[in-house]
Amino acid sequence: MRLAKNPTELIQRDKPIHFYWNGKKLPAYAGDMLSSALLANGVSHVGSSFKYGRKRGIFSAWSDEPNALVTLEDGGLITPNARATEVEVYDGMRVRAAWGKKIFGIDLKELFMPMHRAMPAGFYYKTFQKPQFLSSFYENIIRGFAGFSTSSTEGDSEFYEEVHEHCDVLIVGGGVAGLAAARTLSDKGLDIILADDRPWLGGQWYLNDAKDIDAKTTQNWIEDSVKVIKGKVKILQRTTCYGLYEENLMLAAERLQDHLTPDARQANLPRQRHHKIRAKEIIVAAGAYERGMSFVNNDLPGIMLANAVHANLKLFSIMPNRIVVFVNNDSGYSLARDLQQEGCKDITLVDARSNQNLGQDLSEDKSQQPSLPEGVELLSGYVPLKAKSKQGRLHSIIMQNADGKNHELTCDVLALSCGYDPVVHLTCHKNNRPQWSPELACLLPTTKGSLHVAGAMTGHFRTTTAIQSGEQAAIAALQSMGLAKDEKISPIKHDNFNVLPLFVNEKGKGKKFVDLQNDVTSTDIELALRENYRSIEHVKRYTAVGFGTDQGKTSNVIALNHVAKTLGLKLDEIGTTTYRPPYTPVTFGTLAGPHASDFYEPYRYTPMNASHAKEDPEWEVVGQWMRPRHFPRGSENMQDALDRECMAARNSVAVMDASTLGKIDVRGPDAREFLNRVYTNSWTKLAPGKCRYGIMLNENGMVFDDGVTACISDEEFYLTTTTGGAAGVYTWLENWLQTEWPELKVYLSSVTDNWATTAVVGPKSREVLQSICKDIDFSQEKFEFMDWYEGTICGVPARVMRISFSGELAYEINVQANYGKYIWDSVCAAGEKFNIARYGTETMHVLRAEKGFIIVGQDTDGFVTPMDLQMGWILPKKKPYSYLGKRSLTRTEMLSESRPQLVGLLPKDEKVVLPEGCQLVDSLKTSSDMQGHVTSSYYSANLGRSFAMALVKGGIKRYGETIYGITRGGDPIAAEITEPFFYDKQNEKKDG
Amino acid sequence: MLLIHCPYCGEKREEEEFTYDNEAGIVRPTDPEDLTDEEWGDYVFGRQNLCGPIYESWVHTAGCRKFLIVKRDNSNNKIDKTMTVQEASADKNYQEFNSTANSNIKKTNK
Repeated sequence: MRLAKNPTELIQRDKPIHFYWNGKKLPAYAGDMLSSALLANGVSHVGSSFKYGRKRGIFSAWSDEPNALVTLEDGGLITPNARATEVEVYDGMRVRAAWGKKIFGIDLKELFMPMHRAMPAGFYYKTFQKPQFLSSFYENIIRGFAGFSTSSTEGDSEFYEEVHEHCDVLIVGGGVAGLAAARTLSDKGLDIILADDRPWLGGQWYLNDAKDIDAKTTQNWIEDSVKVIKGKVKILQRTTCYGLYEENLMLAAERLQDHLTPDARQANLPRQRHHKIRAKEIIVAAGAYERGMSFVNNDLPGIMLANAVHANLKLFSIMPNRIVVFVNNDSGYSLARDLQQEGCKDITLVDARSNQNLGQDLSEDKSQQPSLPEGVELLSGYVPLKAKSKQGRLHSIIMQNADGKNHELTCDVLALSCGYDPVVHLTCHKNNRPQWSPELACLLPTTKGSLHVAGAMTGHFRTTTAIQSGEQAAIAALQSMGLAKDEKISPIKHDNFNVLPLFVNEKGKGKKFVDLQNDVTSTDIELALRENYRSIEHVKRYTAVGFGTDQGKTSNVIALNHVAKTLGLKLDEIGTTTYRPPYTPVTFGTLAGPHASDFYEPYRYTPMNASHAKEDPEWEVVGQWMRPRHFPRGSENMQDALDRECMAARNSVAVMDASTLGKIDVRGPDAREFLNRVYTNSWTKLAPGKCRYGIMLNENGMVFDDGVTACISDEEFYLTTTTGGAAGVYTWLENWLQTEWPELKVYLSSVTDNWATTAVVGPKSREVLQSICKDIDFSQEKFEFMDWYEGTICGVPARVMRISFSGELAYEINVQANYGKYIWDSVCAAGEKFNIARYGTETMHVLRAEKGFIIVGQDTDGFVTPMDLQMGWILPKKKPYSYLGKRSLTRTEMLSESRPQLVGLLPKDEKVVLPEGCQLVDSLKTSSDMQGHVTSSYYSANLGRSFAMALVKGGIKRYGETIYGITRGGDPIAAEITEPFFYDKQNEKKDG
Repeated sequence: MLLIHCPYCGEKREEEEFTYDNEAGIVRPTDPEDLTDEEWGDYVFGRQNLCGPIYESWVHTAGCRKFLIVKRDNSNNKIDKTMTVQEASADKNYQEFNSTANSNIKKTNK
């Protein structure tokens, strides 16, 4: 029921709006939270529980909400599992409940009601284990029930931003303590950020008991404080500080536009902004949550936390008709007072403490006793035993006293005030554990160094004490920075509200929920302990208490105490579970920030890219590089294009962009010695003007890179690496030079981007090059295989290397990168008379595989030695320095003949191409062992058949044997094991 | 997220700029061929994996690309100090740590 206007409300009566709840149009006011709007419309069934499908309502008034999970909007604007208590309603908002499958309006899980008694903790693990072949069937069914919102299948239609900020003091929380700290610091000329997650400043300012200043005074003080700090303190509202990391790095998510109608959102502003704040000092004044209590049916819609009822009353003018306020401490009396002041006629206050109890526990001063508002009925010494429902919501509550006397009260709302739990989360992210305070019956944060805490966090729950502690935290921060005198700050007395600790009422039959989101009952916890899960972390994982989107904000402390009580231990002996970031759920969009879609990973383009794009090739991403895969002409499909490009390279001339190869300039008097150490073969005698192929091993003897290195002069080498391995090889080489061999005078520079490389391949390549380069003699006698020459091509200085990755006569033209496109175009033009073919990575793969040339990373997987690759020829026996990885090659295991070895495969059916990666077996019996896998596989137009390379156990000695490739869903493919060379086995083609 | 002082650049920079490399102080045996398989295996794979203050090798990937020695307590993730490779070789504590902690690797250097 909505009250007539009240002076502290946040809703704007002159701005009535509408929203849609499960498709039904409902009224609200601008300024409403979704939870208050639902309550005002009498919607009690908001959520559906995780395991049992029980009806759930709104339980809290902020981020501790376990039940009221909803899906906001649809498609590109969808937000799954939003807490209705944190959502600001805007006009036209579309909201759906986040429950799972429903049939005729009934949650399927609810239909299992009769079985619920037989579904204890660990039920799914225990029940759906066997038979194993059914497990995936079970999983599909169970997953259908599980979870809350479904996620969108569309991309996010909004964007996100990331900012790095630095400040002197970061204040987390804009409640009175945070504001007091900001106020104290505001005139010190410091950079201060105050971050608060609510739409309003002041936090739970409306909570005040008789010993506190009144609400109006608090409101005025907040307004005044905001005026004082404005312009001096950067205030971030709707900003959740969700994670604290090393060196005072606070991550915070700012919700800029979530509270606006999609039409009203500014297109140039992000939806959310990710703040990465480095602060010298951090003051956490994150407040406290109210705690509930566990008893039979304590999950019924209508049972709420007292501060939630209070917030809805003061801020949104929502009043229950008949309410029972249950308290175990003094603070809840103020709710009864305020309800009564607003005109609530039917209030019953149940105090767990008896009159005597009350007298004994309180200090001598009788005036400390909470005063009972007039007209409010008091029942003392009673605790809730069982809640009863009617039409799916709370109808009455049975209270019981120590003598076993029952008292049933009819009500539509039960407000629980069972103590406060400081929001210790952020202070625990850096491994600080909170400490149990027996005096306050709650966990208090422990802090040190530049981390300070204030307000309800430190057990100063009243406005007056919170303000004082905020001021003290500010002074502590100043002292820590050396800006204030290092005087001892005398502690402020805690507000314990004479709390009588109560967590679970074990009496009564029925479900007593500890964790409302994960449906964990007190008996589940007891069962876990009986099954000997003793560590609190194990109990958590076995029962799922404290999991889920709320991470147990309303359940952890109850669970801890129940475990302690059941085991007969003190809470400190149990410890707590680990608090980890994020404090509340953070949307993936915010975490990704701007690093999404096109900006997820940068693409690199070669200088020739514009020329490639004109030919409209198929593209392939290779280690960030955008490379043409093949260049289809007209209506050619991929195989047609590959066939044509391969035939051109073998019979005429073809051209490929090889600029992506990693290139490293190796210089210095010890360059040769350096190469001798990092490559397996010898570089001592490589003369200037010559090139050589080399393989690099890691210390485990496994191949990790290969490439050709040219000797420019005795002290200068031009080393190439694989495209994908360039960065890794460079770091690897630097590591050896800097840490292990500082005595070597060698200097490395990465020159990958400085050179553009055009590979001209095929018997006609000599003619093409000679026609565009006059100052180099390309004749066979003069320009031998593995030679390189400096010359001028079309007026551009170039290094031309006669190296071949196809087995054909081939040259690689290296020019300064800015000339890359010009040279590429010139070569293409000069080759036109031979119908020159541009080719991409796929054709390159076919050509090299026909010759049995490996690609590191495709034919090797980090567990392959040169011997396995049948490349023992590259391992000279005598080299003075024991090159990297050499010692590993003589390990016993390396000499085993059953190691996977690189072989060729010729499918029996010449038209069938084995899928790359497919597993190989040597017989088709069901129990046959895996013999290896296919690493490269193609159809070759030159061979007129399919062929493949594979790593096969002991393959070198198995030539002629038949092996079978197992394909997914298809027939096995029979193939003969051969040597891994298929074309021009005598190496005659390289001279053209 | 750590802040790491790069001893070459002379500035405290974000962890994102750096890449962890390995435990520091693993010295390549001078004569690998003289070692047994086991001794060589200790060098290639054997790591101390100690809890507490340890020395690590990092590289300032997005900065000067130099390798540095970081003394970090992995039980609380606090960095005590950072050194250049040269400074480390003259640092008594570092040498002492390696001679005791990496004793099994040390023994491979006969």
